[in-house]
Amino acid sequence: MLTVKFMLIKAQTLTYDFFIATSLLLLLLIATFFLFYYKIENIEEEKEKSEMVNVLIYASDIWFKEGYPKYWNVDNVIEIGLSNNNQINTTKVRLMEEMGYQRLASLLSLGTFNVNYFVYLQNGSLIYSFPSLFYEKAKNVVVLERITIWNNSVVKVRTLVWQKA
Amino acid sequence: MAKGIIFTTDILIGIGLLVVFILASFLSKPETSQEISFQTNSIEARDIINVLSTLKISSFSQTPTIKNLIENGTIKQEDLNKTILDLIGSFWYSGNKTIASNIAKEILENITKKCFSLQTENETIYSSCNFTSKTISVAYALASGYEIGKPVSGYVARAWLTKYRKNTTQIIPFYPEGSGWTGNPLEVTKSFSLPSNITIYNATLFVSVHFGTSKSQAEFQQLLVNGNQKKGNIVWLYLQEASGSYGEVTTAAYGYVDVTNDIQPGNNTIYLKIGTPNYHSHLHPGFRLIVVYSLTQEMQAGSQTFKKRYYFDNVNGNTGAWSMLSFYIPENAKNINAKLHLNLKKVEDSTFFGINTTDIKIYVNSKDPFYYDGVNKENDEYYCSRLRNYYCYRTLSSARDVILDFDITNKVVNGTNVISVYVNSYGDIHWGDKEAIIYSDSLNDPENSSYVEVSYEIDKPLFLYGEIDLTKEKMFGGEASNPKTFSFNISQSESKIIEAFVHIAQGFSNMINVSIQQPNSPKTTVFTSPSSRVVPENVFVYPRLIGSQNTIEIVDFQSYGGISPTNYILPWSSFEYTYLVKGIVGYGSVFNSSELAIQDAINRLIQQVGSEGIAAENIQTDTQSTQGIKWLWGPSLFKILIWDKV
Repeated sequence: MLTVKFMLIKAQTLTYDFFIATSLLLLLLIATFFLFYYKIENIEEEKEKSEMVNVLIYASDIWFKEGYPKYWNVDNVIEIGLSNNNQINTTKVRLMEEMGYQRLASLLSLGTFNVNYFVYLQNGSLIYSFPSLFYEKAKNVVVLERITIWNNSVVKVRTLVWQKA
Repeated sequence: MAKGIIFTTDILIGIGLLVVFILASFLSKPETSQEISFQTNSIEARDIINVLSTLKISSFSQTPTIKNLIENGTIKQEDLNKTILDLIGSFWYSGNKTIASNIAKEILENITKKCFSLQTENETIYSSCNFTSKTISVAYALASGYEIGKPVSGYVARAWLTKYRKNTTQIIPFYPEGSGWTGNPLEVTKSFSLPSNITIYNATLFVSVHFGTSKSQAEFQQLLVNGNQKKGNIVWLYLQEASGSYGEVTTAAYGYVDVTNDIQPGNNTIYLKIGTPNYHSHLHPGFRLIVVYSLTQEMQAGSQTFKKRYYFDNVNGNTGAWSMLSFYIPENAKNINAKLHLNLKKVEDSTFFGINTTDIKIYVNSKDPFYYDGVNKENDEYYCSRLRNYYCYRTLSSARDVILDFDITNKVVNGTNVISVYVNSYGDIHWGDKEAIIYSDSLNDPENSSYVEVSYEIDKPLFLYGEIDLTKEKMFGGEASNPKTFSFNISQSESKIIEAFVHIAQGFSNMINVSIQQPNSPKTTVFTSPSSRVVPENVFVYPRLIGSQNTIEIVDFQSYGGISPTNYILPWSSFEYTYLVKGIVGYGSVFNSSELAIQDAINRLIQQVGSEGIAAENIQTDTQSTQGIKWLWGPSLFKILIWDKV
């Protein structure tokens, strides 16, 4: 009688119910783990994206501000700005080319980011771009298109900020 | 079996929660994306508004609408330097909304792939697509602008009259006064002065008398206007017979006579002589001379201190004389001073059984006498040895002249004042042997004439330099009735009223109440007779009581309160008002030369005063160079709304 009782208890512990419940618990734990992993990764991405957008806006702003000094040159520029009287100053655009991309990146504190500028007329014709180099293997590209005035015409300034792949 | 059920329920709840949690996690969109979208839209909206505020019209001279406006001359060369927002605002706020929308469309379409809308004051000037998004970014710009086609720098000018010729109306009232008793005549002489430099266009004498016997006998004995006999020229408009206490028939008559060719600039005299066989003849309310003339004046500011003298008419009664003079004091007058000077001639001092009965009574805005010289202030009929046909038999001494001076300052009121003077008569009773005179000759003997002199101050002048006063009269019209109402409108150009009077024209009269009312406002009483037979020819109306729509009501009532059934108010009652017209125009449009600016100011001035019949005789101008005057529209808030296409 005693033997029979012992056997009965063991058999109940290892029932199918037990296995199914354990499997479901494991499944739940695994799903929760992956979910949290995914969310954390997502948050990181958003944070990085947000940081890139801030860089993007800052980089695009140079077309809308005067910089410091107001009429700077390659030697005395402290803050870069390509505008005067709410219009793009073509002299400053030329000076930007003259100072080169590395100096521009330094003034913009781009860090690991890179920037490209494209200026289009309202009809979509490209009239200006800087710098001319562009890496094919780029990742995390963010784009901002803004509207301003170049030679008394409405133009769209497209700013790209990206990272090397 | 029971264990299995419990397990199944638990696991189902657990799985359900897990599924919901996983789905919620996957479906929840990170807020960062929305924030970035809103941020970039906001930047773009700001860019567009900056572009519109910066770009000049010249940059878009080839867009269809602007090109067309340039070609047809609406946009001039000097306008090309104005901004696009200025241009759009100018057309939008000048009512050319379609043009503004077209310009906005041609400039802004394809400017961005996103949806956007240009708005001002909650109206959409241009929208690239319908609102479909819950998240909209907005950028604002405040702008005001110049009128398209007008220079923004140049010369502005103003002009004002220093000398002008105006057409105006002057009303000279004859006071209710009498009397000629039982066949003896009443003689009234009105002396008055008109400005010497006028051209008289029309002069009409309205006569209102109680005289004669029946209607058929209603006529003047004399009506001399500056010596010209006019008694046969009167056109009688209204004749009303009445029977007196002794059965006698008399007539209240109202008529007019054209005296345009008889009245002259400067001094004038009107003399009338009327009588009645059985009663007493006297003048009724509504007797007045209306003169329309043009007058040349130098521009000047109104005064703040006033000293006016109101002369009595010279009244020669037989027997007994009386007169009721009316004058006004403005509502806001202060430091008021008033004195009464009477020169009464041939007053017969009467006694009754040795009692010194009253022969002179003076009433100032009251039913009680302000002054009486005998013992009885009233009840004259009790102090007669015999009363026959209104004649009171008393013992009379020889006639004497009486000069009386009174300070009546504390008796006068703001508004209409009435002073009644009775000599050897009161009401329907008279005594005395011969004539009694209330003496007045304001033209030749002003100091010895009978008058009321009023002085007062007001806080600010009635009119300022550059303002011209014009007087007009509106006749009531309609039918004779009691009560009588008169409704009239005051136009915007006449709305600055500084003085107004109601001239009451009546046949028989007793006591009156004059009130004025605007729609949906309570009635305001402007005058109530203090006692019987105190119906002034004119009643002053406070200008503040006059609105754009008005109704005047005149009611003749009995002392016991009922309406007098046959004391009609006649259609020739009138409303006289004096209003101000601006004889100055301010700086106007901007012109390229001072000559053009001055000519514009002169034209504007001539047009402004011309509409009121004022002709400029001398114009002073002032011109100034100016730059950058913002005008026509604004400041107005413009906004660009941007949202993502869905």
